[in-house]
Amino acid sequence: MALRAPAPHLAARLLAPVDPGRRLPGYRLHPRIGVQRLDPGSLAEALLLLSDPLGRLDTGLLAAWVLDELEDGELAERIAAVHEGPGSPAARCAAVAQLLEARLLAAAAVIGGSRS
Amino acid sequence: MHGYAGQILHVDLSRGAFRRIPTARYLHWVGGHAMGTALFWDLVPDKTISAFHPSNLVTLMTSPLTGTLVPGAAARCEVQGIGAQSAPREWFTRSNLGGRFGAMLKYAGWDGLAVQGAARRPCWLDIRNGQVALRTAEGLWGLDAWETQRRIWDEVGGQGKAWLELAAGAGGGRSRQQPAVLCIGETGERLARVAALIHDAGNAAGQGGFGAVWGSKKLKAVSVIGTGSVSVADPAALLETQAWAQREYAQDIREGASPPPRGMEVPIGFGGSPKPGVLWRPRDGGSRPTACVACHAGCRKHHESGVGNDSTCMESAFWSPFDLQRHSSALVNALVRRVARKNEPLAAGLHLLLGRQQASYRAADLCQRHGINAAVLFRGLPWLQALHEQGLLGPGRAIATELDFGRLGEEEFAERLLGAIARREGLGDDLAEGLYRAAQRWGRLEEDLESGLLPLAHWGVPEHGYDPRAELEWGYGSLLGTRDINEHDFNALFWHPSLASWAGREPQPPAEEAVRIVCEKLIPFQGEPEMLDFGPDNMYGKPMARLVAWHRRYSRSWKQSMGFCDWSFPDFLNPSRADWSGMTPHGEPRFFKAVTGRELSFAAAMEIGRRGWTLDNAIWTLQGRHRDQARFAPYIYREPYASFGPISMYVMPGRREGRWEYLNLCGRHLDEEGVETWKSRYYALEGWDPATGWPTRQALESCELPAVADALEAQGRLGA
Repeated sequence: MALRAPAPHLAARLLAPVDPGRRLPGYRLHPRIGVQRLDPGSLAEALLLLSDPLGRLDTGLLAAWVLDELEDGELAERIAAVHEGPGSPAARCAAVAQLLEARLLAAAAVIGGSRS
Repeated sequence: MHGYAGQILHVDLSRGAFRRIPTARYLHWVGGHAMGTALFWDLVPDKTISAFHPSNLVTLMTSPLTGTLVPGAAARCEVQGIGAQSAPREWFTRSNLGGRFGAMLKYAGWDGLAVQGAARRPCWLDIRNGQVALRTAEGLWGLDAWETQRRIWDEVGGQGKAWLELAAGAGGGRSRQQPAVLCIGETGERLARVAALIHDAGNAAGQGGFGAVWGSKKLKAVSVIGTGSVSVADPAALLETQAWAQREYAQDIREGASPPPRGMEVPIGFGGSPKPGVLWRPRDGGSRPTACVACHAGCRKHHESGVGNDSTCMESAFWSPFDLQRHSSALVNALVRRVARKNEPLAAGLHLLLGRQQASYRAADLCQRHGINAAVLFRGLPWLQALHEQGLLGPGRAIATELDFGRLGEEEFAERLLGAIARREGLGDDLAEGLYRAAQRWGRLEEDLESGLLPLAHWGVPEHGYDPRAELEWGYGSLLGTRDINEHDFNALFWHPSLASWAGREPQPPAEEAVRIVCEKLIPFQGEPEMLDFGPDNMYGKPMARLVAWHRRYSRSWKQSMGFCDWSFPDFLNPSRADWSGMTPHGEPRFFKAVTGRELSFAAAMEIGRRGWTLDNAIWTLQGRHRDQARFAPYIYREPYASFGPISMYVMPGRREGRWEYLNLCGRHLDEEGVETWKSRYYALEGWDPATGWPTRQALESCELPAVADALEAQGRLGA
């Protein structure tokens, strides 16, 4: 079932970065460099990291971060469900990326609609 | 002397004089690092001089395999001397580069260069076969590394022009190739300790700050063009061995062949997947793989756009996270546009966004052009961003700068920041001194080394992304030496299980099988699986000491003296083989014999590595080293490794209740007392004095270095 369209104030939060100290811990891996810290500071950054095959983000932490920092309970619940469900970490990240993509698009529709 | 040119060129920049050193005099050191160390020992009587002292010697040494057709071992050129980078002490250290410089040196008839003294005015060294000249670099001084090379290519001739005719005095010959040029940018001219040596678009000797050492010598560039070749003892055997390696150990990419299972595509080892070693996504437009001389892997790229060519590893990584951060706003804008147009598929848009890391490519090019060590930026930029976000760095702040770090990740900001370092302007002047000295100037050193915000794990130089708290042999090897070793030998034990776990597959081979395969290859310590236990039982154990001893020997011999590339060798776990057993220890001696005609067993080469490593330590001892100085930065002893949350995963083999497993090593730190215990065990194993870390007479004489023992004794620094 699709998520409800976010209210304008929530949509604005979903598209904006959080304060630097509130970033979500993440990293990426590559044989040449090992571990490189890459902490997403917005939902869009989280999506970019999840879409990178080298990216590593804990979907459980992401669910909590979406609830605490972005205050999007619906999205957080969906992410948590994926996190607790079956599948490998890679598969869970791919599924969560789809959720984030759809949510960002919905937020953009709200903001874009209010601008037009 | 098959494989050798037979002579080493000594250049005295102070007097503008040249002399030929017969390679035969140093043949027992084989080549590369070991030969360079021996030259340094002989030619620099006072080892306590600074990196910028005219008597400091910089060696550029090839190996007998350089310039031949040995895959993955024909291109490396070892750089040594007292480096400017480490802190607080400038140690005798090493760096290395690929490309075509080393091979061209051999084709010109030289096994290596030994550059000493300091010119009064800027100069460059022009080598055309046997003809050698120092030329004025007044017109090159102030130019970046790419422009410098272009000017020299124009002056010497070669590609794109008429045939380059080498004078009879230079041995004659004609060439359409452009000379191989190794040079410094403005960063090195200004004696910045972060300065690298640059060759072609992106081959760099970054570690050690040798760019600054060249700057102190007023040496802008070395250009070499050769029309000769390398004598190979048994060309048929070389080609047979090459075919054997390709057939038996390289990944089969023909249509219908079985690729490695998903999640196992690791570009490490001879049989690793032939993937580019870059951290950015494909650009718009085409690209093609490029390789060092005779390499089978082709791990770098040339782009249709001409941007980002040759840059791999840290050059391709240091700007990328911040570039991606900036892309998040671009993604949001794209989403809003999509709403407006209703016809822009997001998947394609996202892919393009990830690919358009224009700023990362530009930043890499700037790094190469200015001649800056990318490893410093790789670890330094997150630190600077944190200081900025804590309100400590910026206009009017405690660490005052006009640079707006809120724009970190943008192309224009890369130009400003890297330009400031290269020109030593404002904050750039501090950063040109390296991260350790910059932190010292800003009063941040103790606090940030304690917390790990500034990850300089050893000797004031940045740690790699393979942390000493997890990958023990990497950390211990760096601690015993002078720098981040940057040797990926045992990474296969991490990558295969880590990627399999991420993809939800059972790691292959299982831990016990992987350990069995690898430990049989660890000559002269073979057959002891405990050496490969990275778990708590062996963190400070004697088997770990033997593993590190093996690693130091292998690196100093096969890799740094004979030039086997870190990305292909050792070949431990080979995913292209059903039995997972890689080419090591059979391939290396076979290639060596084909080229040189000399029988050199794997064990005998490891002994050369031990001798070279011991001589390195004798030099450090004379420089003033004591075991008490060999300590990790405080955060390694205090802070648990990897606080990325539950996803943190650094998996390597170890024993749990007697059974081999892949253990997750995240969350642990090293124990200071444990490390001291481990050091004592290691020193004892090497025959070095556990009280001081200095080599003993017995150890030195076992390395056939009695004169070195005498020299240490005369200085009161011989181990008891």
